[in-house]
Amino acid sequence: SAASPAWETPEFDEVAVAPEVTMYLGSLE
Amino acid sequence: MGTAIAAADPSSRPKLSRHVRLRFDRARDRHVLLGPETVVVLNRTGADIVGLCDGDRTAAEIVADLRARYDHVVGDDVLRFLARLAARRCLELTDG
Repeated sequence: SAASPAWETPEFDEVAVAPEVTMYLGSLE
Repeated sequence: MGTAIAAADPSSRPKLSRHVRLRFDRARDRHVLLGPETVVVLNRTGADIVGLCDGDRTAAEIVADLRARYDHVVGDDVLRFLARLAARRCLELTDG
């Protein structure tokens, strides 16, 4: 069977934004 | 002064905080966590981990699930990642 993808260290980047921006982004879906 | 990075307890059951939602950001082509005043951009494995944080699975079960998807999963990577997100109040780690 096809090989599993290689593990990569989980990471995140935090971006501070205005509350209305996150409300807008959340409304898109 | 120690530099140890906290890790989640394997028996804890992580779940998204009430004010945080997981979304796919088309512009970034990445999954993100939307909080009240922050956007947390996740890489692929980070998004997979968060997607498994349903408050039902334990952290250990999440690691086991990931091992079915990826080669050479480092369990400590997952536990540290969960602790870092919990420290930013994106996740809640309930007792097992």
